[in-house]
Amino acid sequence: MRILLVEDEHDLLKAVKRFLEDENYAVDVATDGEEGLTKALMWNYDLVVLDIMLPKLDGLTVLKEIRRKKRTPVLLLTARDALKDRVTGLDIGADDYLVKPFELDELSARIRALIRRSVGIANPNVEIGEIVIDLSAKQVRKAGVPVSLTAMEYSLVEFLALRRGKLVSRSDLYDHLFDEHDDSLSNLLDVHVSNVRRKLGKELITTRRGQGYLIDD
Amino acid sequence: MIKSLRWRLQIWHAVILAVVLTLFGGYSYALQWESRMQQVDAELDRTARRVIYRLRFWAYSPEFPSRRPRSLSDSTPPGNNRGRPNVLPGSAAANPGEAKSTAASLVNAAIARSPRGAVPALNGQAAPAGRNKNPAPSAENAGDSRSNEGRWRPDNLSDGDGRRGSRRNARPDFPPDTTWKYNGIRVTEDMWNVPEDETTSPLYFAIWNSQGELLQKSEAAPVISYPGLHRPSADSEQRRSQPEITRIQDGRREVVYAVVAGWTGIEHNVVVGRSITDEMAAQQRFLLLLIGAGSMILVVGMLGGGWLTSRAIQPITVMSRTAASISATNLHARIDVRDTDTELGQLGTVLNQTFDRLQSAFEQQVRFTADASHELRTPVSILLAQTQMALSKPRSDEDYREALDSCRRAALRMKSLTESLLSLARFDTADVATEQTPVELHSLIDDAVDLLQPVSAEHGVAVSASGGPCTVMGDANQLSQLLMNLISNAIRYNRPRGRVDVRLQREDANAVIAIQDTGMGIAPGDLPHLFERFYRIDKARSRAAGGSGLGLSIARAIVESHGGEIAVESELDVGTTVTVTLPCSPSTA
Repeated sequence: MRILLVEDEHDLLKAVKRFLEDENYAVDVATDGEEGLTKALMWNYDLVVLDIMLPKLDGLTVLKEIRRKKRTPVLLLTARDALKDRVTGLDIGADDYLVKPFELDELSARIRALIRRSVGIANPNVEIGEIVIDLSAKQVRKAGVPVSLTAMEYSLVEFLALRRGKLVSRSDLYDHLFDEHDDSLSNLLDVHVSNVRRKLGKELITTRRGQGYLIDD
Repeated sequence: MIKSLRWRLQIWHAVILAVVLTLFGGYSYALQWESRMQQVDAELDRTARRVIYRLRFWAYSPEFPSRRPRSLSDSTPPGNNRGRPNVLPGSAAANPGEAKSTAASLVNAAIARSPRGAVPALNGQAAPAGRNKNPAPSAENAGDSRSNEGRWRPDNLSDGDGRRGSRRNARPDFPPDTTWKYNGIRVTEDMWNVPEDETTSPLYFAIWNSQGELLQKSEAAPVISYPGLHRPSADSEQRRSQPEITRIQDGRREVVYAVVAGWTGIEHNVVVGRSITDEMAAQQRFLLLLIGAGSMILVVGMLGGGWLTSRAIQPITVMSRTAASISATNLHARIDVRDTDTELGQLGTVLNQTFDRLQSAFEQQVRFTADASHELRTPVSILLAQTQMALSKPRSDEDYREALDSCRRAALRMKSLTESLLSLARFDTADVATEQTPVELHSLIDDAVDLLQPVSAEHGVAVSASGGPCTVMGDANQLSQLLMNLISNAIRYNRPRGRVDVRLQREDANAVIAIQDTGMGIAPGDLPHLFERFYRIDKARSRAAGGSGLGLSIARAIVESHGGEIAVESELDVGTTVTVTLPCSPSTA
């Protein structure tokens, strides 16, 4: 899952980015409105965390621009507790909001819920045969036994599981699983896929040669 | 309750009403009594005059019948002299003194000529005055005009002119007196004024000589002690007519005269009186009536006054209810002021203005609090996020150090913010006593420029200070804070390789500090708001630059507490000039 974090407070940005990375997200950052808008339009993020008070272009304007072209879920961060700000934010297309100061646990829970809903899944446990993916605990169990996966392996499984029955191209996977600073070496993805197959069973991920990967229904 | 305006008004109203009613009632009572007494006195006086007349007349010597009338011409009816020669000697024989007998004979002579002497009702007794009415109608029936004249009644005199004239000529002056009850003065009962109506109390009289011997008194007269009245005056005119004493004794009204009886020079005291118990009873009834009417007026007045008071006070009740409804959560209520010309309308207007000011002050306070808390939110978010991130799992030393660094920066930001808020709050409470010491502005400016050297170097801005020495009275710390604030603003919002000029000048009695930068300038729309708390032109930019949005507010507060002025001129993309004008100290002026 790849997230764009737009926040002008450097210290806050660092802490949140670090925390989300620990939660297995690929995190891109932007420190002003213009940069945030550019990145949000350039990449297909799974979620945008957007501060309202931003230099150059304020968060609400960025949100409006994003909504003209994309359906990316947006979570607003606001320092103002005013009802008007929250209503305006939600009305122009935000999916959720969080008032500063906030707890990081709450932020990550809201991010999980938003991503789940954006792909049309309400149940935090995704079952594929005998494999159960616990989206909140970020854990995979095979026949009730927890399977140890690396962060990247889990992200791969999660991403494909959330798009069950749909073909996911390699470039999509690169877009969503790696942040902008990762070296997207093509063979790296293949390594992760084979590792997952080794741990969870060959038949879980189907390869369509030249097109991509999918998890069947 | 008693202290409420309504009750005080009511009480005052009652007191004033009661006083007015009492005064008015007392005055009416006195007037009524006076008028009654005047009536009684007039009655008594008429009778007394007759008695006195007789007394005087009696004192004439029979030896000088022809001479007397001349000297008495002003007070004696003109017909007197005609009767005098016809004195009946026999009737005077019983008199002990010569003078007395003379008088009696004169009287009898007059009576003898009068037809009144034939009226039987008057004969033989000193009948009560009330009964003496009988002769009058009978005499009038007889058609003799002269018969009336002896009665000396004012109503008879008010007849036609012709008749009166003829009466005067024929007047015998004395009613018939066939019954000499006393050997002394021989004043007959029918001589005094006969009351018209039966209910009036009878008159009485008493006459004493100068030795205090009671010469004569009427039957109805009570026991009266000798008044012992003496007239020192030798004026004969006065002696005759003026009552000496008018008195009220035991329910009787009496007039006392001291009369010199004719030429004898013997002073007599005459008392004429009558009971005034009827009048007193009537007066008492009148008093009761007054009290009753007064109480009624008081009650009606109090009710009316109460109604008026509650009408007058009603707007106050409404106003206080409205004022009471105004609270922190409801500052919008206003007193309904319809008539601004009335006192209450003016009060309402003034109160509304106060509420307006309160509301704006309160809203400003609310906004200020919201802004302040908003300013605190960001560093608190950083603290929370950093600590949570650091504690979420074991991290490297480097990570911890970085997190702690972030926390420290956040804490420092909060510290500076709270300090700014505190200093503003100090200026808000007007009793901040600005220390008044001579402050050398030029050295303060130099210090500030020196202190800001690292900042200016960082931004690549050249700062220059110019101007001669100038001293103002004030607080050196505050003025230093002011200069640091303004110069650092000029440095921060400058462009790279820009300039900041700080000039100090004397203009009249003022020290003028101009801080000019070559920054991006301020849009005209932002200028009016510059000194508002937490106002930021580019919110995120100034925050990144470390500003709290309070610097200029504090600067203005400092300048104003020194009695100075601060102004900003700016042109976009050219630069901004902040001008501070401070009054110079008198010693250097």
